[in-house]
This record gives sequence, C-alpha cells and structure tokens, in this order.
Amino acid sequence: MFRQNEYASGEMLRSIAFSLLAIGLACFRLNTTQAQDAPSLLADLAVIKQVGPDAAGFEAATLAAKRLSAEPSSSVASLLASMTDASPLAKNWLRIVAADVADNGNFPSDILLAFFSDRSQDTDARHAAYQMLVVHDPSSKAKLLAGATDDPSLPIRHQSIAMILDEANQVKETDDKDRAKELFRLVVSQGRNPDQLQAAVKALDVLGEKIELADELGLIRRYWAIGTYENTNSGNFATAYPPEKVYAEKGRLPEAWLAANAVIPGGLESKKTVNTKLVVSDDSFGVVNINPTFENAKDVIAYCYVEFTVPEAIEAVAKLGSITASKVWVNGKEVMANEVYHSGSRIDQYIGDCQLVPGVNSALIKICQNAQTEPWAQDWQFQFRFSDQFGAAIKPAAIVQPAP
Amino acid sequence: MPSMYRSTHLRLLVASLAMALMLNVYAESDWLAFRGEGGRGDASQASPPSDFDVVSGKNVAWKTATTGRGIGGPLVIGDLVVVTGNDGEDQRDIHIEAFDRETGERRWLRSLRSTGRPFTHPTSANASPSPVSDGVRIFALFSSCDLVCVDLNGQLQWVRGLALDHPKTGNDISMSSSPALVDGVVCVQLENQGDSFAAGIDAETGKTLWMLDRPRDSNWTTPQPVELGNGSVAFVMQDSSSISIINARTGELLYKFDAKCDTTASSTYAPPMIFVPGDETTALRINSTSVEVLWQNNRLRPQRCSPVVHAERIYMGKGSVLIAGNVGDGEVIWQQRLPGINTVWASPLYTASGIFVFDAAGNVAVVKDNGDDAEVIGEPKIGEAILATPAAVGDSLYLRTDLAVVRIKQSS
Repeated sequence: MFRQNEYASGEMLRSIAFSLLAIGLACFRLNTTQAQDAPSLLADLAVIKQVGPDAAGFEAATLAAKRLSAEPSSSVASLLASMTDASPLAKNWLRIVAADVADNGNFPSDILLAFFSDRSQDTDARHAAYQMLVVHDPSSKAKLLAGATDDPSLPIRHQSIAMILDEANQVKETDDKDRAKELFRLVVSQGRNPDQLQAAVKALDVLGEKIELADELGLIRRYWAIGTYENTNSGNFATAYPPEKVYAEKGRLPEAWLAANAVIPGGLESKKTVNTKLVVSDDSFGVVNINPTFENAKDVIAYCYVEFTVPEAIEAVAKLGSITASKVWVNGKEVMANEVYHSGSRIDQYIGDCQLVPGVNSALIKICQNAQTEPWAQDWQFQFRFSDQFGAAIKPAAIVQPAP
Repeated sequence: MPSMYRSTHLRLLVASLAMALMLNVYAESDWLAFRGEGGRGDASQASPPSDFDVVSGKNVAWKTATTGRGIGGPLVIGDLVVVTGNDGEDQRDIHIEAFDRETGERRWLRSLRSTGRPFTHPTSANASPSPVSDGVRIFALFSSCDLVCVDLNGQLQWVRGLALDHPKTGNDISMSSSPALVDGVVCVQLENQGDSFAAGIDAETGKTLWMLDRPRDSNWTTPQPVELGNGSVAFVMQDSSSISIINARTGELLYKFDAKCDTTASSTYAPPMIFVPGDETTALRINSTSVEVLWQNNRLRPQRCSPVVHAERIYMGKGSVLIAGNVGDGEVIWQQRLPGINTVWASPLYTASGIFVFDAAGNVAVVKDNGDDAEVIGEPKIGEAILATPAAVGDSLYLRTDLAVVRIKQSS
C-alpha cells in the first residue's frame, strides 16, 4: 500500500511538473505586457489542471482557485494560457477563475484582445477571452468576429457565421441579391454547423440558386438494408446478428449479400433468413427513413451498410442522428453505441472517432425499433455522415455499394 | 419558569435551529430553490402587484437581458437575483449570472462549456434545471450534467462534469430535474434511458457521497428534501411507478411505495406531508417512526406544472384550468377556468395578492381563492416567453423569461 501511494505521489508530482512546464511555455508565447508569472500562480494553475473524474483533486483545486481569484485582472492571460492541454473539466475550472480574475480591478481589455487575436493559443481559451470581451463591451462583437469565418475555434467560427447569416438575411431584403447570394455562399463554404448551412441553402433556393444540402454536409443516402431481426421487448440491442458478427470479423460484408433480395442468415430460430433491400433517400437533410422498406415493423432490428471511397487517409468523426437505439461500425470497428428510443433526435446527435483509409471504406449501422405505440414514437430513421476533427464535412468521392 | 420546562424549551429551540440549519435557511427575503421552500410554491408572505405589464413597463422595477436563454427558475439570495442560461452552437455555452436585486445590473457572470450532451428539444434548454442555494453558495446543474458550485461573489468552489464520469447519461429532450439541497448534500436525479442514476454530492467538496441506480427511463422531476420523524433528513424521488425515500447523507433506501407518478410535475412538501403528482396523486404523511400513504386521488392531478400547497389547500395547474383540493383527503373543491391561459410549463405561485398562473406565451392569470369557489382578479401581461417558475419575495415577483430577468414591483 505504501509503495502504491508513493508511486501515486511520484506520478502526481511528475504530472504537476509537466503541467507547470506546459503552462510556462504557453505563457512564454503570450505577446502581452504582463509581468513574469509568479511561481505560486503557476503552481496553483497546475493544481487545477489535475482535477479529474469523481472529484479527484478537488480539495487542492478549490484552495488553488480561491488563491487565484485574488489575482489582479492583469493576470487573466496566464489563466487562459494554462488551458492549453487541460482536460475539458479543468478548462471549466479555469474559465470560471479567469472570469473572476478579470473582475478584479480594471477590465483587462487589451490583454484579452491580444490573447483573442493570437490564433496559436488554445481555441477554448480564445473563446473564453471572446466571451469576456463581448460581455464587457457588446459593441465589440462585430469587430472581433470580422474575418473569423475560418477561425480555428468552432464556437467563434459559429458566431462569425451567424453574423454573416444575419447580414445576408438583411441584404436579401434589399435589391442587392447578388451580394446576398455571395454572403449565403460564404456560409455554405465556411460554415460547420448543419443548421447554419441549412438556413443558407434554403435562402439561396429562394434566390434561385440550388445547392444540394445533403451533399454539402457529406450525408450518405444510399444503403443496403438487411433485416429485419428480432428485438422483442427491445431486448436484442446487444445481440450480434450475422451482419455485425461477419462485419466485425471481416471488416466488410460478403459480396453475395450486397444485392437486392439477397438471402442472409436470420440469426434466431424463429427467423431463419432475412433479405437485403436497397434504401435510397432523397431527403435534402439526409434523413434515411427505413419504415417503408420494412413496412413499419415494430420490435425489430435492421442493418444499413455502405461502401464509399475517400482520396486520402484521415482521422474522421462518424456522426449519426437516430431517433432509436443504434450502433455504428466503421471499417470493421465499433465507433458508437446508444440504446435510446424516441427521446429526441437531430443531425450529428452521436459521434465517434474513426480512421478512414485511402480508397474503399465501409460503415455498418444497426438501427433498432421498439414497440411503442404513441404517434410520436413511430419514426425509424437516421442521418449519417463523416467530418474531419475540425467539423468540415467529408464528402465521399463515390458510393461503391450500393452502386448508383 | 421551572427548570424542567426551561430545559425542554431549550432542547426544542436547539432542535428547531438544528433542523433549520440542516434544511436550507429561508429568510423571508430569500428564494433559494425551484418553487421556494419545500417546493411548495407558497409565497403567502409576498404581496406582488396583481396588475403589471412588462411590455409597457407598468409596475416593472427593472428588466435586464440575460446571457442566453434559460427556463430554470430564478433564485433571490440577499441582494442578488441569480439565473442560469445557455447560448452558442448547440447550446454548448452555459452561464450562471447574478444581478443586483435593487437595480437589475449584472454583478457577475461565470461561463462554462458543456462537457455532456447539450442537445434538447427546442422548447427546453440546456439551462432548464433551476439552481439551488444554501444562502452562501449556489449550485447550478445543466441538462449537460455539468454541476457548478460558486459562492455569492461568483467565486468558484468546484465544478463537476457528471457526464464525463457517466458518458451514457443524457436525454436529448433535456435533463431538467433540478438539484436539491439538504444538510450539506446536493442531490441530483439524472434519470434517462442510458446510465440512469441519482447521487448525493457533498456541497462543500463536490465529492460523491452516494450513488443509486435509477430506472432507465426519462424522468424530469426534481427530488424533494424532507424531514423524517426521527430528526434525519431524506430526499423523496418519484419515477413512473414508484416513490422512494432516500437517506440524504447515506443514500440508503428507507421507504418505497408503488404509485403511478408523473415524470414531469414534481412533488411538494408541506410538513408533515408530501404530495406526489401522478395519474393518481399520492399524499404521504411522515409520522414519528414511519411514512404512510394518506390518500391517492386520480381526479386531482396536474399537467406538467407542480402542485402548490398553502395551509389546507393544494392547487394544481392543468393548462387553462386551476384546480383546488383539500390536503386532508385530496377531494377537489373548485376548478377555475383561466381566460387567456394556454400552454403552461411554469408552476403556479401562491401569494398574498392571489395565485399566479403563467403560460408559456407570457399571459398571466391571478386567481383569488374564495373558499368554495374562485375568481380571476388579474390578467397581467409579460408579453414574452416564460417557462421558468418565478420567485415571489416581499413586495416583488422575479420573472426569469426566456431571455431576461424582470422584477415586478408596485410603482411608487
């Protein structure tokens, strides 16, 4: 026990030392007029960065936060800089303490502006700086967001795109339709949020310019659908039916299964075989409704399969919206599983990291349906796409299976 | 006075003070939780004006825009009014902010990013649970399962990311159960189809004191602190099929009753009774050594909003109708139709000026209970969306509309 504690203490010391070094380096990069950070400030920041699951490190962090909250407002950049490499939880601690510090004395507008303007800083920290600046002076918002449509911080980028959308909607009401189109096109090309793209595409449509929203968002709308399998009392979410069993083993489904009316093993004695069906959606927001394909079946499971190509390897994010319980595998590996029925759905509702390879990739989606009878619990549909780690849609170069 | 009596009175006084300290200390000038003390919605000491118009400014002391949208009720703590809010992409930015009670000026704002699921139905919001306070600290929970504790100066005490610890906890309709507080324990009831649990969290340190698995189903109701007959304190939790009474300090299940409970409208505590709404509203009486079902009534039940209890009356909002019942047997006494009131999410408020009912579009009805019947004595207007249950303290009503906080007070 003693040795374990000793080891744990050593690990913690090493971790704190590493954090101190990281914070020191981040502060060194700051191009501000602030004084050298006191070692005690850096130590307190390092302590806060140690907070972890189940309130780990909280007692020390609370004391550190209390000491830090007495720092002068000129220290705010040090706190923001310390968010580099911090966990999402630690970032929230640092955000609150930074706002508290910014309230101590003269508001540090220049320091925050310098921090915000430095795009090499942590994206979340820059967003926190932006929030403080705008709360202090709402009129600064437009100036801060000008030219931020490609900002590396997604929330800042979102705000900037929202501003462009507002402007576009105002211009749309004038005679300058070309300028309005230009602004809406900017939203489509630079935006990352599907709702913003949807608004811009709709507006362009009204202005006579057609853009296929689903394609812009990289939404995949062609699948081989295999089913149905039993899901009695919603009890088979964990059951590995033949499609997922074979896919997990081989990384692809057999060629013989990928044809309309192909016969596939059924999995349970009560249903010895099932069939493959082609599902194609023409929904502009990429909603794939499988109710018509499987005649509104209840308490069942279906699998949807697609093969597609991308030109180069990429660390991707698989994104699924599904109103019912679902699992997703990409290139043979499970990337997400959510056993939730009829409790809200939207595009990009569930996400999971995955790796796409140059050439042919594949995805298998398990979509379950339960036996709820309420009118609002009848949907059986999903939206699926990939983005890169920064939210940009990955548009498949081609859908290989089902072939067009 | 004989010494024995002095001693008895002293013990009673000490016991009363101890209990007052264990439960949140409610100064008459404070409003520290969703629906106030005991979740009763009883502000009978308050006398706000029954005629006001937020749009024209009639009897509006101040109105201040909030940072983002929120549907959780406001707190009134000393000279502060505290609300939560959310904005940003997918409602990921979450905020706690405090306003000066006299002027409405913002005193401080603390912002975070959601670490759990921020998505909700458009009607709801990430900032849907009401915060709770012990008078010195504020505990704010968000639909994303982020739980924040700051003091009255906005100084951080601790932040939990409960969805970081429980990644499958979430509900994309929203997680709207408000945190409850008693005896230094913050209770969160995070029931959903994924990782469904309730937890008692140490208010001082943020550490988990206990955790209970809960039914894997959607539930938006708020746990209710109660005093048990033996002097200990507990949380009452409801789900679609039962009522559980949980030791506040240990999480031990003390009592469980089968009941078809509502999963939206929360329970109301009027010692020694607690009223749990549902298909059959259940009244439990807490005795010195036990808890018993006093009555169940399927005619007295609310729609979405939670019951209000004052003296011998229990009031239930049901859309455009307000129902009054008898706390002793649950029998309906009167039903009053409310002109101009449609969809209602906020719970009603009992005040000395009347019973206020707020609809989601910002229409208000003020009802006077005449005993055997009722009458509508006021139809003030808010003129903007409001889903949050307001606070009523002293001469004022504090409204948390979707995008603002408003103090209603008779103009001098």
